[in-house]
Amino acid sequence: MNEKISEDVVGQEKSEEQAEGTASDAGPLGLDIGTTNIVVAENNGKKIKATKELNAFFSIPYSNLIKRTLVKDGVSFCNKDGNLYIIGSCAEEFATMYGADTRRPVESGLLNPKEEECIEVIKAIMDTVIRKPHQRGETICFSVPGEPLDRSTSIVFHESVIRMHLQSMGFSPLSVNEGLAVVLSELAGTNFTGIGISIGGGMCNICFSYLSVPVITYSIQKGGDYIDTMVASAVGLPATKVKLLKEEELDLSGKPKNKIETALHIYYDELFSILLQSLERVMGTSDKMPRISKDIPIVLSGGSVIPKGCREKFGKAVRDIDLPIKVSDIRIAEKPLYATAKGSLKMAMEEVGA
Amino acid sequence: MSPCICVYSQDSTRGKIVFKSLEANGIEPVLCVTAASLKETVSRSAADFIIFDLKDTFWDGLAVLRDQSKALRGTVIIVLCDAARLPLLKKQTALMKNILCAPDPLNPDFIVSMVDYLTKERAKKKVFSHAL
Repeated sequence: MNEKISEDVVGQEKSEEQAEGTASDAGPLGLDIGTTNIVVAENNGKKIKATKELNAFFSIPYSNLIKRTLVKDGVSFCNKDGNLYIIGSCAEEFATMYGADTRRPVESGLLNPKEEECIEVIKAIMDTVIRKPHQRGETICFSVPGEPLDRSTSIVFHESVIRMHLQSMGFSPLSVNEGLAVVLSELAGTNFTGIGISIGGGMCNICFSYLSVPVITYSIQKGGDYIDTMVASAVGLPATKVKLLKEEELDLSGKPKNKIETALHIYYDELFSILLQSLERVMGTSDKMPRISKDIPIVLSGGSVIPKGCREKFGKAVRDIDLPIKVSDIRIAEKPLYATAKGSLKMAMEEVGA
Repeated sequence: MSPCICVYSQDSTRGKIVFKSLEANGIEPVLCVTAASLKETVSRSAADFIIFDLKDTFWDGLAVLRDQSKALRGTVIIVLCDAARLPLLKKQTALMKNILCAPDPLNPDFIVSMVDYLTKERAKKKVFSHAL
């Protein structure tokens, strides 16, 4: 039941051996700790393999019988203080069974201060999705959010907890800004110059990179969850239902067909507007901005940019602002859910000279 | 032959921007983030150019700049600074003949073309003019 999705990030043909990830796994790892998913990317020689797990949990009171059943069914869980914490994709199944929502160890991109057990849970999820190092000190690069623009919180605690756990697993961890990871993944063609934006569940991460130097990095603590919540309150549906409709049916390229789609269009417009106004302000006032003669691309990644028409909607919003650089084009990452992990892997490979 | 270049900036972002821009144009510079490492680097091998960033450390940096300008008369020093401080910088460095100024905004293409031009000039004349 512990579902893990393997995908050829670079799109080459998958061999059984590589798909199972048994024989040729070697070299460093890239890790994306997102609000919604945790993704691990690994280079196995010819291509990059990615594994994704839901970053969620569901707790039920401890009982020996339930515990034995979970073990028998291969359900991932951890056990603490009289509760069983079912983790990953299994949590969603249990939540549906109990008619409740899953809980999140990460909220708005950072460890969830409202969840007492967030550290134990995230460690347990990481343990299920990250293989053990082949040798002590193997490199793993993990993504971290940019500092939130309003400085209402800091990434230090979040980053340190992840780092310490990876160290305890036997890895030698290094971190990379999430927006920069998107640039590293997608903008090799422009020598890693451009703007990488990851629009995930909990936050948007933004990085303006010049020749792979992260000149400007920051985050705003709004993302797909914000859209879901706002739409849900506007139309009177549960946010989980809105999320499902958004992920499976939404087409932003055409006119909305009903009230829910109308609300989704409105809140996508609002999120893009907030994001781009912040970009205009930050780039316009930064004394670190170099003068660039060439036009540069913007690349979008993350689960919230998957709906059809996202690129065009974002492009329209870009035309309404005045950036100190000229935008050549707007792209969607080849695999939006995996771009951050792939970029983190590239950073790890650079570190070890692979 | 590629010129020997030191990039000195206490601002790691600005330093790396200049460093990577030169690197992308086939030049392999050395990046120094402290005055001590700059001094050590140029004492080991004479630099053709120093890209010297004064932006965030104007007065402290100026003292280092004076020393280096005097000690390395054959080295061209391209000074990066805040545009507002350019008149002051020019006044302070009026007697230093191996100094060129490149005020903000940081313009990596301009710095690269400056280095390229001066390198070609140097190749023609074999040595740098001290009276730049």
